[in-house]
Amino acid sequence: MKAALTCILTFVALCCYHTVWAQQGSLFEKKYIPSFSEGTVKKYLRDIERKTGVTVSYSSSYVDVHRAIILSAIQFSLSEALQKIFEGQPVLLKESGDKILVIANGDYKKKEERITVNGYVKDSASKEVLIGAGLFVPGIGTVAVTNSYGYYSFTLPAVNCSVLCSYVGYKTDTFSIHGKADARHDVQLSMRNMLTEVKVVSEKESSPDHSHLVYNDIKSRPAVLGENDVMRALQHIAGVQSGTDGTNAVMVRGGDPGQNLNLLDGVPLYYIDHFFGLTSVYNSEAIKSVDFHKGAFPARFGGRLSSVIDVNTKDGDMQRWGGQFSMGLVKSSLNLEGPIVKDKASIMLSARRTWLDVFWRPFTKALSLNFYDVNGKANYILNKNNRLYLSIYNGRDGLGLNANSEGTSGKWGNTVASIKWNTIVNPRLFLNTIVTYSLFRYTIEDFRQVIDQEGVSNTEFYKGNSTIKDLAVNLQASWYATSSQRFSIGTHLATATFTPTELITTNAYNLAGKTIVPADKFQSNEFIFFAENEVKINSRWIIRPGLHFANWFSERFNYSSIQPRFYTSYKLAPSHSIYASYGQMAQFLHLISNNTYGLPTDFWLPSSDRIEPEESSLVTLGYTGKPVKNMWYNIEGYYKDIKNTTTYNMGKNLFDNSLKWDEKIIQGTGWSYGAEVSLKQKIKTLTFSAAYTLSWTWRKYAQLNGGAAFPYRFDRRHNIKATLQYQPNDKFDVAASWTFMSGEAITLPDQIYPDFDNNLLITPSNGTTSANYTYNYVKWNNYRLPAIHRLDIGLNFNKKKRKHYERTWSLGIFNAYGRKNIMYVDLQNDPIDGGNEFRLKGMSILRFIPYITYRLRF
Amino acid sequence: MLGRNTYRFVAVAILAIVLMGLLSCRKDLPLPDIKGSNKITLIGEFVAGDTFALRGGQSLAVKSGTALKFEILRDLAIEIKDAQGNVYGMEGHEDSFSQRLYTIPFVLQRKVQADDTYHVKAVHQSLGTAAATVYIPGPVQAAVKDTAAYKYASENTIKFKVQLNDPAGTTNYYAIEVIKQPLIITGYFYYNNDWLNMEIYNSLYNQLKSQGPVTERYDSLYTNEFVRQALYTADGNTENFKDKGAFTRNKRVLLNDMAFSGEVYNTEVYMALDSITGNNGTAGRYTLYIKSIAKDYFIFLKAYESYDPSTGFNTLEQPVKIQGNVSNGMGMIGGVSQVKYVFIRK
Repeated sequence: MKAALTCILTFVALCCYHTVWAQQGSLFEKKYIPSFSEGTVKKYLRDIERKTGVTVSYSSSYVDVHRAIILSAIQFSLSEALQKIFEGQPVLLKESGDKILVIANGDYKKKEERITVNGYVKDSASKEVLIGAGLFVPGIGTVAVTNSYGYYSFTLPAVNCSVLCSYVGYKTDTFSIHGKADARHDVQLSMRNMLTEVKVVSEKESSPDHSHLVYNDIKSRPAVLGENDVMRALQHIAGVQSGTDGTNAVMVRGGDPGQNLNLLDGVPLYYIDHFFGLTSVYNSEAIKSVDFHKGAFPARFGGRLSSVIDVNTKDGDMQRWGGQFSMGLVKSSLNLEGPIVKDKASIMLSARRTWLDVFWRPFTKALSLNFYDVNGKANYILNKNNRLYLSIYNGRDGLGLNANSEGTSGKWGNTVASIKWNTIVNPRLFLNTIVTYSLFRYTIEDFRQVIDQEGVSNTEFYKGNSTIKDLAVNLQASWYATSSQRFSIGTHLATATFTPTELITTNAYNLAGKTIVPADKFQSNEFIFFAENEVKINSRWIIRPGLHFANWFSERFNYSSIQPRFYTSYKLAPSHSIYASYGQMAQFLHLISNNTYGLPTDFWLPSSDRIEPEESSLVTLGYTGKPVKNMWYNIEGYYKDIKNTTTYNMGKNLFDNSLKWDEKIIQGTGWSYGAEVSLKQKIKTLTFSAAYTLSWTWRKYAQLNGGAAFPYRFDRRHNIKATLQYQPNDKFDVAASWTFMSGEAITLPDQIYPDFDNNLLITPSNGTTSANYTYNYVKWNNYRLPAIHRLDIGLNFNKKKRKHYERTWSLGIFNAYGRKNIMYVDLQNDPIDGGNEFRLKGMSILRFIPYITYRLRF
Repeated sequence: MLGRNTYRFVAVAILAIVLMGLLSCRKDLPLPDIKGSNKITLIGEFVAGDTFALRGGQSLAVKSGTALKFEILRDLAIEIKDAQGNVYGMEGHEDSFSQRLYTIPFVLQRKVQADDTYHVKAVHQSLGTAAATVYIPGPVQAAVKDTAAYKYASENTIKFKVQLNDPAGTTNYYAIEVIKQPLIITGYFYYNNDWLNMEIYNSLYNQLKSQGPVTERYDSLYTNEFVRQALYTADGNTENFKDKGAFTRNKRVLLNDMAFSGEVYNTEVYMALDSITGNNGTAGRYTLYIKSIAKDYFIFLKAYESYDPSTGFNTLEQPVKIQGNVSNGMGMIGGVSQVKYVFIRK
């Protein structure tokens, strides 16, 4: 409690400090001494910008910028100077944020009339839509941000004005509106050269309610074996905790991995690890952007407590065929995209597979270990107002062991598909209809030779299945009522079939053809309705109230949940905002997990009459600012309360007991609180970013730890991620990333006592191994492992070959200074001087791990 | 399920091989700086009709500042109080197992009565007092109806068909286990007025045998060793099947009468001829025990069956809390009524 109070006070103090700093005077009061006595309007405006740092926005469509002006070289206020500069011109001056806007005066006469401007924002080269692009009208401010389909719409007074459109990594573009009637403007932005500094109206990191990542954010950091991945990129965001070092598990604000809503083109994924957590099912090469929400959840999202990872794949280049091939130490991938009908329809195909197993296959078939996945997306512009998308994904992990006619093999993976239809019903109403299908299947097969009295007769074969299959229809409508109000409403209907476990056998000698553990198939239905209204009260203050209603029902249960959501942000100064949010979330699916090693030992279970849905309440308070050019920071505090969180009961093995699967898990409560600080600073060719999280996370179950609260396994007190990138030119870049995490909490026995069977004098052994002792556990997660820290270094060498070819060699090293970070622990029985002395030993695995990757873009 | 533990083990092993890069290392970690002391440990079974017997020792507190090293607990006094309030002291003396098990056997020359409850109190000057209450279930009505050689899970097994006559009106808990006492058979042949060992004089024996009949004699000697036999069950009502599937080698087969209360119930148990610890010959005296056990003992054994002692303590495994019945101490004194069947295999 004391720690929480300290945390909150620190946070409030930091906010107050920056608030005071940010609230310094009006721009019009700034002093200005002209550098020259004669010049044009344009020349004086540039001089003002240079000497005062204040940007003056205007459009040459209504300002005569070449008019000659005479100004004395004496001190003016900016207000006085600008009035003289624009004297005789029909303009009004208005302060907006850190700018002064020059607005056509005559336009205000027509302010009763309003027009709606809408359209898509696209990449000028590929014609792919851009998600999260900002549109800005001088005099009004940011009026719109493109949605997940690149669509925008805003309504404003019928005036002549300019609209600026910007997106991270693209040149800002401007288009003019002639305030006569509603207008459709599809904007095309060009990528900016990475070394050319272009003024950007608003960077996405200034949006504090969520993080927006693009391909460059994912591939820019060094990673173990060179496996850049969405989930690893998310681990660099404040508030996100990693699981075991080196794996890609993401735990957000005290939640577990099962509390993240993983979406691939809007379709939920149930299992996202490949290759023991080395990489995720999200193929970086196929990704357009990722929106990550850890709080301030929009009302349209639900079904998980802790975060939303909304991954959008590339639509496919509408102009030319191209792609990318890459090969690393573990896998290779190929991505192809291009037009089916130019400017009308395109397709994107991406596939990757491990290749390590191909090498050892000629030598042994005793072991197979691999994964593959395939992404495909096609989109077709039916007409100006209608667009159709088709997405598919299929991925599998496989592991097999085969020796002496006996073996075990396992396969697990997702198959998802979605069809989306975007309709612009009218300029203010955008309709999105999605039909989704998702299948997660885990199969384990075990076969043994059976020999009866007549010799080898057949093979005994057991097969275990665990599946989740769901089919859903979503309907979402966005109504862009005015430039200051957007209303969203939607519904979601889904039906899911769960087969937690099923065990069947064929040709068995004694159990021929029987299903020995029945499937206990379980159908559940979900109905969701949401509504949300984003309102700009004034140029400084935004509120976003929302409501998410969910109903889960089946023959066995009926649960409902009303989840209010609220987000507000207030601009204290042009580049400084304070924001807060409150949200309730609920999930009726439970991931039962006993480790985070990316093995399919985790199972999804639906709620039942015994297992209630999990619920959380999250409150956040934050401050974001840009104190100087190219520097951005964010401070946020949170408190999260979790009800009905689930875990295995002691010693339970869920997979093998389908009939009583819900008796094997228990439910309890949890809570987490902390503070997060993020910082990004760019100095010429150097970019520094850091994220620090201070947090406490607790769990409490009646059946564990005597009913007392205990720390969550991944309750890491301090979590620091810092990255320094240096990019002197477009041929070379280097990044160094330093990670520090407090050690995880593990359950250590408090007592060891002689083994029971040995003391019945049954099979007594000579007694120097751990097998001869029994471990007694009293307190859960009572021991802290040492902190994890490491430095990862990565270098990229790019070379352009002809117009469309570019190859990149990536080299790097993971854990460059070889810190012995503990992955797991055992208590070893170490015979010393003939006695039995125990020692606690930690296993450190990932040290000095190099990587090399080749990438060819064409 | 079949192979699941193997699968998980191998998966983790492969994770290590592939990801590691081969630079793994072990690091000593400090033990927690906590309060706590060693505790009296009592382990045994009170079997109806047998004399009282248990073993007493001490546990080790896992904390810093002490060597985690087992030692025999001397000067431990144990007494038993029966339902009538009679108190009897148990006698304890070190035996040949004490030096490797770190426990001392305690006995009381009185018979354990079925359907009775006993209170055990153990007192030690520095470790204090530990206590346990032991309920002995009523007589078990069970029989082995059939046996057959059988190939199960690629193993040579003996199939036992066990019939339980479950009493109505109470919840009953059963454990089935097989203990082998290995048999050493030594052959002799008569030659020159002397009995010679066949193994030692093997070439002479073969030579004589090729020339005609030889007078032979065999001595059988049971070793003073008791070996637990691995058991399989495909019975869906057993805890073993529910927890681990049909192909896991179990120490005991555990089931309660939830599905057959008050009825006659048949179950099949497959005994591997190899012992739970490996192949040490198949000759021996096999004793199959059908036990009716107290509820607390059943809970203890169910957890004990889930716990794999060979893994020791390891953070890759979910901890299993094995709840004994010794208060202010460690261990379990199980209450048992049993019938047993003995089979000889030469």
